[in-house]
Amino acid sequence: MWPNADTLCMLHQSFDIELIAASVLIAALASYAALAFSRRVGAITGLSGIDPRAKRAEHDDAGATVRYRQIAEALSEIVWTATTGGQIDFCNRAWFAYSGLPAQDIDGLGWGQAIHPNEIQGVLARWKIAVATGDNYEMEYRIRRFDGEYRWHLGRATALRDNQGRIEKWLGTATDIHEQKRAEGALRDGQRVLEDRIADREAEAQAATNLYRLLAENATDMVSTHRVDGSFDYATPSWSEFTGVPNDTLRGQFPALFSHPDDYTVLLANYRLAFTVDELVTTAWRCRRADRSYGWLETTTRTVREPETRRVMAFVSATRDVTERRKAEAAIRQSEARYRQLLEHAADAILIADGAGHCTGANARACSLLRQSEEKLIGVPLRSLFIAREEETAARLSALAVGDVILAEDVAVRGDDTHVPVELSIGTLPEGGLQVIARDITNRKELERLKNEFISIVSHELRTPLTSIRGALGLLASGRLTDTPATSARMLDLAVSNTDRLIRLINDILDVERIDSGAVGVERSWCNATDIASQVIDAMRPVAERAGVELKASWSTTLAWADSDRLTQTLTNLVGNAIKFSPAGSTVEINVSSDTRDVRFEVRDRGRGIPSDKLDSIFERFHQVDASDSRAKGGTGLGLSICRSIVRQHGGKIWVESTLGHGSTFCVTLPLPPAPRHELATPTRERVIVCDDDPGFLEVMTAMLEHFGYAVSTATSGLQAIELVKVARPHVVFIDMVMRGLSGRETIEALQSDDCTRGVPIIVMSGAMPQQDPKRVGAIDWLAKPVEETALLRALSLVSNPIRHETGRVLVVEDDRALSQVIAATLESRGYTVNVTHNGADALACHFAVGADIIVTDLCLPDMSGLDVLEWIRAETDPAGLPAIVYTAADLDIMMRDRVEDAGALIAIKGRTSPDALVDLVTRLLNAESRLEALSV
Amino acid sequence: MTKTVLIVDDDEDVREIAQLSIELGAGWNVIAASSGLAGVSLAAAEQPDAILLDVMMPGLDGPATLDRLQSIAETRSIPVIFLTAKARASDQVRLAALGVAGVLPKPFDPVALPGQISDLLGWSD
Repeated sequence: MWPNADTLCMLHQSFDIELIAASVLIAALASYAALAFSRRVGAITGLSGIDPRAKRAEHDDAGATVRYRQIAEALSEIVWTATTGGQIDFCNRAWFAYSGLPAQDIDGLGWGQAIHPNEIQGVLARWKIAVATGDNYEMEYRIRRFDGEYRWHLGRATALRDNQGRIEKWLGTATDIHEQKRAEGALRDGQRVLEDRIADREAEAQAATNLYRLLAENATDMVSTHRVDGSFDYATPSWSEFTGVPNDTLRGQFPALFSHPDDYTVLLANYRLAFTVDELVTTAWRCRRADRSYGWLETTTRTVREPETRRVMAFVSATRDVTERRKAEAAIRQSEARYRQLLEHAADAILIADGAGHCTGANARACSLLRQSEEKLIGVPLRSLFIAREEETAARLSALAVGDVILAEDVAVRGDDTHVPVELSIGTLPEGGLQVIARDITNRKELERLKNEFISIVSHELRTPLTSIRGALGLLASGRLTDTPATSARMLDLAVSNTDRLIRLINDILDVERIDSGAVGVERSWCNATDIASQVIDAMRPVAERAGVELKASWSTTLAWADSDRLTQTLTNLVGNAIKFSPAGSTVEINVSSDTRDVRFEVRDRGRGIPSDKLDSIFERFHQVDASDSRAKGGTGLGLSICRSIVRQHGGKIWVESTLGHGSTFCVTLPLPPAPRHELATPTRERVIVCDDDPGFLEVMTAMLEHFGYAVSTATSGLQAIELVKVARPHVVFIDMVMRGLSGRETIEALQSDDCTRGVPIIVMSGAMPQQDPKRVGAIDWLAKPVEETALLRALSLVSNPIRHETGRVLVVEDDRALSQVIAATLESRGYTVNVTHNGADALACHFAVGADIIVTDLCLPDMSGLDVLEWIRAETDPAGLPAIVYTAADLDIMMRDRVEDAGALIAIKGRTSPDALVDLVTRLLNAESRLEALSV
Repeated sequence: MTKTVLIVDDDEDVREIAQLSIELGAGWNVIAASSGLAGVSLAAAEQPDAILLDVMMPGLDGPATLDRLQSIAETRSIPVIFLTAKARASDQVRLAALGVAGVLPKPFDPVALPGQISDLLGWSD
């Protein structure tokens, strides 16, 4: 234990007192000595002069010597005297007691043997100097005690002088200062050690501080110390960089000030936790950045505690910006989730196995395919899930060993011990183990089976008539029947009838294949469904009569949007079937009806009916209720399958309702198209008159014209038509050329000869192709029967558009070059200046180079949509100013129509709007004050 | 003694031509049935020397009819020849494996048919 300051101070004080005491003593001795010497000198002098004073003085001198020697002897300090020559002539008792040296040893330099060898030279040298110069001196040196211990002494030598200042004698003292010296030394040593230690500590601390500062300030992490209240005490510059708050401002602020509101609680909670536990507390929180955005930080805090009381003195925190890490983690999580989702939602079963081929994971599909929970599947060897043959397994393993992906068919064993055919894709995973993707191929196998069965049945069906043909002809060719002409004839009959059967079969098989494969499209148009049904009944009547079956029809005139040939084929088939399965004397009923959405055909028989389990399968190929029906009833087993294909191609439905023993009703519905929204070639609700003596035809025309938005009046004779024209002042009159009573030509003449009716536009119609220019008969157009939709629209467009000269620049964008030429020619014939381009890019270039007053564009262009062209141009020019027409063959859905309308364009449908009508529309748009006006014309 | 052959086929024309071929070519008696079921009862009743059996028939098809014939003591030993329009080799092999005397394909050569039947049944000697 180092002496404390108080102890040191006390030591100093006692030391000083002793030194003062010694000095006082020396001074006293010196004055005594001086007195004694002066008297002795006087005595000596007196002796020589025989002075009584001298005698007294001598006496006094001797007494003085005795007295000062007595004093010297009483002192505990060592006292000595020496001659002017330096010879010790007196040492007090203290010397002898201390040094233990005999009296004779002080003679000469004998005392020197008691001085410490290290100091003796110095002492002697100093003593010699003093003797030589007479200077008093004081020095410290060690003197050997009687027990051999050297102890520090303060030695003083004082020259005693006479009145003239001559040295009479030397007086010296040696005071033991050993304890003081040691205490002083110890004090010095202690101070030095202390200072050294302090210096060391300071150096260490400085080094540590420098190091920590260097580490902290250069680390990417943010390091901070906090006061007990949590506020910043010190923060590395990275904190300032993150928060944008200068370091000196940060000091005293609370981290929570920068916290995202949602993370404030957790920050506070962990601050409290750090208080109570003596462990690292880590907090993930969002901290506001300089740019006001939030970044994720991870702060690890530890308390600094007072060692003894464990009182919290401060906090030390290391904080790391984990925003990117969290983003990466989130991305990984997301990716994992996506992967998992992908796995879970995969249509295929996916199994993961370890290197030994034991299942380690399975997706939901795998569980459902194998009818096992994932828990049960884990650990199960793949070998027991899929039952490949041994050699196949071996081959797979060797292929896997070289990194191949194996594709194989196999059979999976389910949890309930049933089997399911699967297609496997087995591959190795980069991290080891296997990935098995299994696809349930039950359906494919079933399809394959059905296909094989179909081929097998077709083969059988084709070979059966061939057998008869080959057999019959073979017998005829053998010459064995030459004598039996009746048998020969019979064989020829068999050959012919089986050839017919073969032809029917081949036709049906080809038909069903072509329809199903989409090789033959249906060509839909408006057709009179009632007419078609009527024709079918007429055609089937002989068959029905032979079977003794009556055909009965009931309908109202109905239009169908159908391929009339295919519709005829379907109805023929259904009626034929109904006749075949009807008992003689029964009735087959045919009904045709419609509503706004569908046309419905029903064929009802009174036959044996169809079991409920066959109601669907009879529409499958060769799936007759009774296979023998095929030949017994002369069918191929494909008729209903063909009907179903045709109906499906029309977007319709076919089904059968049946009660065993009471007959069946086959139903077909064909959808009607939605009415067009803007049939621009046709003004709305204008009245037209149709004159024809065929009521069926009138119904078809009425339906079509009403569909296009006209109000229709019909006349069944020329006379009736004339009266109607007078009353109704129609937009146009359609007149059949061949009518009973007043003919078409006569009706026209009558109309033209009457002032009330002269000038009414007339369109003539006839079953024959027009033989002459319609104008020659006073009509503007000639329509061939049956009237086609496009021809009707073309004719209608002629009505409202008297030729006149127009001006304006029209940009036509149409990739069909032939059509673009027709449009351009039509426009030019009406006086328009026309620029034609065949793609979008050229159209844009052309418009921006020369401009246009109106744009007519196709929708589907090779490089972009016509709508894109319009949107481009409108973006660059006055968005409301430029009129445009989208002229398209595409059947636009509602969304597309809306887009076109949003682009400010009108829609004209190719085939419904003729080039002439299109030009009319162009004229209307250019002359109209507004688009609305153009539409309302 | 004149052989009797039973033809079982659901196609009337094929029955007629096969019958004529056999009658004209070999002079055997021919009896015919239009279904498997009818064939089995006719075979049991008439004990023909051989049965010419169609494969694809509604109701009881060829193999099922064969099964029935083999399960009845009276018909078990009558040799059966399948006459089939099933063209694929695999079908023919499968049919041959059912324990019949032979399989003859359709269409058949009416002139060669009796000889083919004799060969299969060892009647040529």
